[in-house]
Amino acid sequence: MAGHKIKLQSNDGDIFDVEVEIAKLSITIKTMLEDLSMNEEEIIPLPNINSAIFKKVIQWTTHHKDDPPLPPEDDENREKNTNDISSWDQEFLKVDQGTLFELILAANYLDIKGLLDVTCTSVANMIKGKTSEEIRQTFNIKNDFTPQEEEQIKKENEWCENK
Amino acid sequence: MATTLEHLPDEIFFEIFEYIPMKNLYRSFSRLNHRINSILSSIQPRLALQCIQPNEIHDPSMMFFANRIRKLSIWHSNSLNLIHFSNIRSLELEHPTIEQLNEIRPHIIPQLEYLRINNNNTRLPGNVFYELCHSIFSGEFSYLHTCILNNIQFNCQWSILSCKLRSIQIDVKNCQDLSYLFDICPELIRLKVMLDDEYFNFHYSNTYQRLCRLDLYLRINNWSCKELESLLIVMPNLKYLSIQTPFAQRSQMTVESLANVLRKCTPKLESFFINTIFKEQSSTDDIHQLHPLFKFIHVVQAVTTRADHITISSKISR
Repeated sequence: MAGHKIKLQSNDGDIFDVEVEIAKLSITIKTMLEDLSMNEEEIIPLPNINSAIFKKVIQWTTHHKDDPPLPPEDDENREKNTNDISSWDQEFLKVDQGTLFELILAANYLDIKGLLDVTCTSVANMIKGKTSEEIRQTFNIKNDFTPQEEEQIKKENEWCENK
Repeated sequence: MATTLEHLPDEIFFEIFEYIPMKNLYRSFSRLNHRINSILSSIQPRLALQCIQPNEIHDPSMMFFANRIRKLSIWHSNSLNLIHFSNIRSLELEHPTIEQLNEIRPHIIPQLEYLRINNNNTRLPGNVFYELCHSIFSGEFSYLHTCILNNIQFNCQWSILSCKLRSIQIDVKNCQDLSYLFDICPELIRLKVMLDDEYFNFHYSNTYQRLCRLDLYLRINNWSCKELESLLIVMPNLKYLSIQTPFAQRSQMTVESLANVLRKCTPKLESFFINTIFKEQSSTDDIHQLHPLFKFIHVVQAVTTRADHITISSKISR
């Protein structure tokens, strides 16, 4: 099937011709093609992804199409490592926060484990070492605690504040 | 409007949080807003909490996550209270304290599946470890399937057939304890045992059908194939067998007699390993002919004793 292409449509109407081999790195698309018997002439809609993000996804999958399969996670207690982002992926992920989070949502929707892993790792690296106040500023997280609740949490966190 | 961290579904937060150590996670996210607090509270951390330093025992992050931690390994002596870790599945204590040994009980850690305790601390009163062993071998832990323990004092008062362990690694100072272990643990599939006795004097009147894998370390002088046969004959379904003896310790067994015992006692054997000094030396070619599992043979002559340490191993698919 190498070289054969399918048509994928982003939610803003653009149609992309993508090699089947590359499109099948998405388990969601692979399932559509195999289990739902969609033929290669049909346009497959991707209602959760816009053109700009889908272009990035195609860029990533094209670069990683020959990667060996990910090893099974045999130790469920293993802590995941944030250091193993390749230099190509690091360059690829030099994007604004909005794009990074949309890539995560796209990887999750399309079920592309490698892309999900590397984008989540990138966010984890942005989080590491930051206090909650720094996290709030970095990611613009809204505070919905009442003053009383905040006081209570502050007391519970005194140990951390003193570190 | 640009997508932000808060637009991500909870499942993605869980995914991201897997990359962040527990302590950092608590420090960074515990006081942001209700939703993120709720996500933190519902994490089932896949965390192995290891190498806890004494100054971390009262870390609020540990207390926050304590009842959701599944695996706890403590490699140095500290007074961490196990009562808070009620959902542990796997527990390893390299230097257990009296309090910790007393806290390993089914009503405190009801989900315990794997337990490794190094009981080499001579300052621990014997009865504390004994009480824990009593609890284990009386089958009080519903889910406990694997134990690695040393210096167990067996007691014939423990109820026979009550323990559901499927794998155990122990040392026994008395061959009678081994037969007693078979009586109290009828469901063992895997046994790794160091036999440290003056004589290899094993008697067991039943057959032990379930055991598939046996790792033997024999610190016994003057044992022969007759004694080995007395052990192997009771476990006819063995698929894996490994036998090792201490350096420079000579057995009274010939390779021929070993082959005969294996043929007679272990018809289902698929994987075999032995490293010992045999009574008589045989040529490598002769050894190959004796048993289908005598395939890989490695001979090393010890400098001090001039004796040949022979390693025989193989694996076949049936």
